[in-house]
Amino acid sequence: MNSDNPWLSWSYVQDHWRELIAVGFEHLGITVAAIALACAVAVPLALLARRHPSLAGSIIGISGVLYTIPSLALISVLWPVFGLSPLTVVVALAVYALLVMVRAILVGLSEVPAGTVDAAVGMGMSDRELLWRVQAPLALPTALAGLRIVTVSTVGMVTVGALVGYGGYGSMILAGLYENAYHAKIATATICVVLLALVLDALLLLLERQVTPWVRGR
Amino acid sequence: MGVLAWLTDPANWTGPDGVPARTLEHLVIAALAMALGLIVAVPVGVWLGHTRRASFLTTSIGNLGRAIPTLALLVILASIPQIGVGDLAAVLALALFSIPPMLTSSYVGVRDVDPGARDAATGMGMTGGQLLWRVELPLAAPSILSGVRTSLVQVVATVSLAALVGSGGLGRYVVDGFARQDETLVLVGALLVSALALGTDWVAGRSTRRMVARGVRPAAGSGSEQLQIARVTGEQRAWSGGAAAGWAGAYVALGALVVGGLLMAGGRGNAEDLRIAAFNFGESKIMAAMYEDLLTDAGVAVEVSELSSREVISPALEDGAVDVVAEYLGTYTEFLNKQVNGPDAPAVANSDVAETLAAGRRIADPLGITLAEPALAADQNAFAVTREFADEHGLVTVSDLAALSQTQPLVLGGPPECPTRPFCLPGLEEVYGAQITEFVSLDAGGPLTKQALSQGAIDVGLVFSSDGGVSALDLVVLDDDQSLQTVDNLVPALSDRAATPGVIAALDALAVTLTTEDLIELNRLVDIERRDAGEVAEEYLVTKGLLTTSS
Repeated sequence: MNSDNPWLSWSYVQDHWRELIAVGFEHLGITVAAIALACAVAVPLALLARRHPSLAGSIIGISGVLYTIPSLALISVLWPVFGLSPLTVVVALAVYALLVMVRAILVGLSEVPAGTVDAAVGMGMSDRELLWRVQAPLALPTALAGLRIVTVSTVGMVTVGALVGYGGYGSMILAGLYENAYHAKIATATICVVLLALVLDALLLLLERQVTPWVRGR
Repeated sequence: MGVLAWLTDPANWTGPDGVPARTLEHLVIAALAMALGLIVAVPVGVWLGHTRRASFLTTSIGNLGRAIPTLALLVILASIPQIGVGDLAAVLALALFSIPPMLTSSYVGVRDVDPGARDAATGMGMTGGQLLWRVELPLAAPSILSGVRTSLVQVVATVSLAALVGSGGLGRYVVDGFARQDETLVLVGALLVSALALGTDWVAGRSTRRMVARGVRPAAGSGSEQLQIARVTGEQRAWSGGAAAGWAGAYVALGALVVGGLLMAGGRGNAEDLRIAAFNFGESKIMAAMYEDLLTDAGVAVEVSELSSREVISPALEDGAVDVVAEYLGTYTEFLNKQVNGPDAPAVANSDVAETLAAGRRIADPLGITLAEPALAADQNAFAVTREFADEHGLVTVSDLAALSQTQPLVLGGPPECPTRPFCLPGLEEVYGAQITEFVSLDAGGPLTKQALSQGAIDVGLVFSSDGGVSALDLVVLDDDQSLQTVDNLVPALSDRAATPGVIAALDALAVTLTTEDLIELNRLVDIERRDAGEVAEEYLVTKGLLTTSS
């Protein structure tokens, strides 16, 4: 094929930076929407599992089953339902994020030392006070660690949305393959995905430090 | 056909496309990838944990590894010429993909071995090697094995993605089903892959438990999944106003993030603007850019979006989510024919432009899709072989190929829908009488087919006649002497609201100007010279004097 087809090309970035930024917003938008949707479902589910421990097994089990459905299949199956919109990708990614979020919240809650809970109960706290004043703050670091894992993996998985036209940088990666293996396009888009993931991860790390200052001394 | 009917049809359980063969392929790819990943990740992780070195590096690789999309790994490996499309790219990409969880869990497992146990072992006079083999590894086994299990299940689930770059496995059903608009096949694929992944997880869970030394095993029943969450029972206070307000606030914020994210992702441009769609390959982008320039010049507000496939774009055209797309007359007519009259409907497109256009319009009009005037330029499906192969066997026409097929086995590569489309496998066999030994499912004249051809993985491939990459790769298009291929002139397909006299007049001007030779040259500039599709399109329109105001 063409001999001059470098993987890394600064001139590619210079010629296409507008497109790279516009696609970045699409990628970011899908990521944020999917994670927010997952959180909106995960928190009540986790609290439900806390109140009814017998449900915890089935909630984790069912979301575990959903988690093993390959993203390609889930997106293809959701496409007739949600049609040609980013919602198809967002819902699929939220399903994957759900398991990790629920599990992280439940693990965080389970790691609260029994002695601390006893002390709180001894102080006369109600169940809701125990949850929000003791268990939730102590579970927060684990839950936020889960959020970071979810964010990084969601940024990567958005690419599969290329199948329905909303894959952010994934659309560029696949298009690069179809344009006679345009190496610079494929590599640049891949690097952008990784950078986006690292930046979001760093931002969440900062947030984690801000909201859980007591963990820092570890 | 329902999923159950499909699964109980014995025909789907035999042959190279049957469930057992696809499952075996899937498992072999996964096993090879896991074996490669395991050989690298576990020893390195264990050694780093033992020496307690490079903690930052190890955790960074773990995090970075999660961030690199598998799709990117697959595409990058498949577009390296020495590797190429197919199972090898899949195995290598998935091996890389499997490394981070195993590396991290091995490292953490060994690093976090109880220092007391370590001290005791050293105090007993154990050497570094003995410490590693007799103390650290057995104690770290649960962590290492859980990493292996995570990787294994992820790899088994992700093999399906490899079908996008032409590899086998159960993902083929999903990708092929999507390409053939066969929802049953997509569902079957999703079901089978999910079942396989769940089964793998179950088996891995059972066997990893056996591999852990008895003393380290968690007691039966109190599996590590069992979460004990302390809570107070009894008194449950009613909802207070403050709590409700807190929840409402949190949900308004989350809802805003969802809506904001969706708008950021999808809210490009104005709802009033006409939406031009392009398929995600060069020629379609050039056509979309020319339509954009022509319509803007005619005072119509437009925006362009890039979409993946006809299966996505065509329904959007019907319901007006997309307004203008450069379609291929024969292929699109047949696509709509199958959609309206069922998958077994007789073909209505043929090798005559006027007849095919009339047939296409009869089907498209009731759907609210207008086919405007077709361009002179056509991009037909064509069968191609390498120049070497053509010279060796003296091939000029497809009939020559059919004659050759009587004496030697031939492997055909093409889009997933090839075995069911008259222009592809059935046409070769019925019209030309060719004997095709094996069909390999790749893509519609894309990089997979062309690479497979030049690597010799297939003997003959279905390509597009106007593709600049065909001559660049030294491939030879065989003459379609029995007129098997339908006319595939470029034709604007318009939604109801786009089908105005102004829009049609603007696009007609291009239709009578653009020839196949022009199109091949434009494709060459974009696909081979790597010029920008928008620039190339505008230059062409300006040269031909089709723009009144030069922008």
